[in-house]
Amino acid sequence: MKSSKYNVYIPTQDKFVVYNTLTGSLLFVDEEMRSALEKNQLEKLDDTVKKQLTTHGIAVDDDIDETAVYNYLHTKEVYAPSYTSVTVFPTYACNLSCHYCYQQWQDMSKSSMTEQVLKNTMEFLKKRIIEDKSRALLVKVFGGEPLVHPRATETFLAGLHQFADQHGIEYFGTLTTNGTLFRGELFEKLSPHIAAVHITLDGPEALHNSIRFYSDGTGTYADIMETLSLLGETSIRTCLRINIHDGDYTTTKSLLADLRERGFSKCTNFELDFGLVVQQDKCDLQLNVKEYIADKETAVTSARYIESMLHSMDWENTEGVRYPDDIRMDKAPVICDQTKRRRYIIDSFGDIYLCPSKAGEKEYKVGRIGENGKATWIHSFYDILTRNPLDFAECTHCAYLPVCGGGCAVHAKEKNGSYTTSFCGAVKQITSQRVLSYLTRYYPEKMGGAHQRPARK
Amino acid sequence: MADFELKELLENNKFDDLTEEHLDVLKTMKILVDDGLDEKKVLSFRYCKEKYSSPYSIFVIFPTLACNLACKYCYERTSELSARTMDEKTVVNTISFIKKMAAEDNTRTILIKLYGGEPLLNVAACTRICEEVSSWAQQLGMQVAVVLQTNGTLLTEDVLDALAPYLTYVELTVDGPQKNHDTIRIYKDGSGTYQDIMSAMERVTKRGIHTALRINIRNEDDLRDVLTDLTERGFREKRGVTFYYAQTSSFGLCELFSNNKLCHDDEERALEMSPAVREVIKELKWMEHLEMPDILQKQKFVACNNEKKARYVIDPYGDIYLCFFRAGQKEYRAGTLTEGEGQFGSMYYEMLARNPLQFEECRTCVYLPLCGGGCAMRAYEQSGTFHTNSCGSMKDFAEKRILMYLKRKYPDRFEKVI
Repeated sequence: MKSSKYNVYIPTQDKFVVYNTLTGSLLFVDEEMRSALEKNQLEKLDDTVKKQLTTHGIAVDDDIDETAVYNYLHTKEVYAPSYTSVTVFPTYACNLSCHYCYQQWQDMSKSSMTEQVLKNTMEFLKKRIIEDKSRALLVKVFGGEPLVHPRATETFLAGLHQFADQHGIEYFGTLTTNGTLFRGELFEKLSPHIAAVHITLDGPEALHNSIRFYSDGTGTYADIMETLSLLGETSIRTCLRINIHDGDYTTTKSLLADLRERGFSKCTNFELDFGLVVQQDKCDLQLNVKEYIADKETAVTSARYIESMLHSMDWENTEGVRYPDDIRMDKAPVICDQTKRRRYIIDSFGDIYLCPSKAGEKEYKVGRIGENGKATWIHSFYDILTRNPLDFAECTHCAYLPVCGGGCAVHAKEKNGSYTTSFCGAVKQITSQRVLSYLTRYYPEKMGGAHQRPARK
Repeated sequence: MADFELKELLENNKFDDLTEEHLDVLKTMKILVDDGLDEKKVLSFRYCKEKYSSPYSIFVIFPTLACNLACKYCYERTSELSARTMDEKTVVNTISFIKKMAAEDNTRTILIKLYGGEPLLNVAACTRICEEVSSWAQQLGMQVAVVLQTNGTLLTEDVLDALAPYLTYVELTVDGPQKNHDTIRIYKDGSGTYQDIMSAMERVTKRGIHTALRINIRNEDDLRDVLTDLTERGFREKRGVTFYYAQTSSFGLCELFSNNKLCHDDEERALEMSPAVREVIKELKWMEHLEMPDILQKQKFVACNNEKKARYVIDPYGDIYLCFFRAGQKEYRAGTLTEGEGQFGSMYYEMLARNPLQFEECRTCVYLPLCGGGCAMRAYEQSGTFHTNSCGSMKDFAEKRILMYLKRKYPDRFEKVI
């Protein structure tokens, strides 16, 4: 028996938490045990303890090569994800003029999918869905504002839903929309093909309206609330992205209070997802890795404020809150759900991408759909798909590898000029904080006050 | 087909003198590729795709290692395996394991191969596994195909009554014409089994179940005799009867993994024999029943179908293997069934994480896309690790195979080539 190479030891006030990044196990240990694990001196432990350690993967049998286990999990995840995921951009155009929108700065053409591209894309997707032999299909409609091009949006959602049904494939459709056009006839038409909707709120009415406004300057808050009322009557999962600007939680609190007053805190189909809005220049990773890390740290600490805010106002549907420190989803041998097989991101030009935030930036495209749905793939497709962090020296022995997967391939390309390099990002810096923050929320008695609530900045 | 001049140009990477038209043809056939394309990455992608995203899961089940025959060449006999039969608890664990892995693999089709030993010595296990997996899969919209590989001597009407609803096809074997067969495939008392196998085949085809007959031969005359007899028995006119042939090997299982020379000789003999054998099949009008990989189809990205994800071999002890030749030999097991699930060990991960693009010899080898690094088990046997190549006879025969294929397909152009 030997210690796992994927143990991370996190000190608390009087003991340690061992976090195994390969299995996701968390175990409290004392100093003596930590030392035994770190020095790999496990022979003297009694059998019950040994059994407990191996059950959680914190120790493993001598003949197990955990690198091979990781390699297996990684390759399996890249090449055989359980479902096919399609992300389409029917248009880059939008009926709003939000000043922070990343798509606005990119001088992206406001183009919409032509009939020909729409036809080619549908043919391409139908072929791929059959060839993939997946048992489930996820269709995400994104933009621009997809409802500016209702015909394409309906073709993707309703058309692929019908196609999936005909072939015995389970179907899920999602719509990312600004919420202002999702009503009336369109709502009736599209709802049967939508399992989830993503809508963003930038704060209470006045703040939101100063940020998310129509091109004539009128705010969108009231219209979005109308859409939310419609959604509240359905079983469509409604994910509300709540942006926090400049770490100002007071505005977040007034927004939540308004949502509660409107009865949305009781809607079991509503989810809250909080996001910190990042300044434009911070996107330039080459210059600002430090700030990138700082932002991630702020996001973790924000979980504490969000939690106490919701608690103080008796928010009913607490199950639907997603905290940025939730480590339960971290067990991902591949860092990004998009850089896998059976993933297709198609923009309004019929270009294929592997990263939704790079859609429209031609240097990041990996292929193009042509006539009759025939795709041409280019080199970058193979660069990204064959990327394996075990080829990078710094990843091979890194205890964080199973929760990092070598980091974002696109960030790696931006920072180092090549997809086939690692990008550590903030994983090493913030994993411990996330674990402690998570444990404090769910197991406060075990943390025994050891972990201090972070002071508000 | 290229002339010497073109070959020189290709080998020396000089294309300035070629016309656009020539370049287009070469590019379309991927004989020339764009400068920026790293073909190793393309290969790595295809290798991993084939290895990890199989659309179906295969479960090779050994309901027993025991057999009612005493065939002289049987590898299971020479390796002195016990006659262990799967007990009820292991049957239950096997069923849970199939369900669990099929769900995890997101498979659309479950293929169950009943293997052994003689699987029909444990009909209860066969029936229960088929029945429970089928009804579970049906609810989830998965398809189930069951292949029974049997010596045929126990395939009675009663057995067929129980199993027929699940069987996709039955695989039987004859060891050449009756006079040879009855000296090789024999009951323990020494008597021959040929007639019993033929009667079984009759019963199976009568129920509309597909039969695949493996015919072991020493030469084309053996095949002529067997096919003639099958024609007389009326099988040529029956639908759902297919056959393939294999030459009788002159060595046992341990040599299969360790003795490259014997394997090479065997393969050479098979290749030499193949044109004459095909003539016999044509002459006797059995061509449309022949179902075996053609001469070029032997070549694949991943060396062995059982080296892939979603392949499981389960023996009567409840141990999991990847190579079915190794079932029952604990030192090769890849995991063990425990209640409700399977626990995989190091061998499983080592085998699945094997990638020939990491082997120095393979990275630069022009044959890699045909060979996939060779048999993992042979590599292990010969070098003590899965993470190495095992070239086998691929390099020796790849060219010959292509020429033989071309000669058959385009006889006018290749008559003199070989």
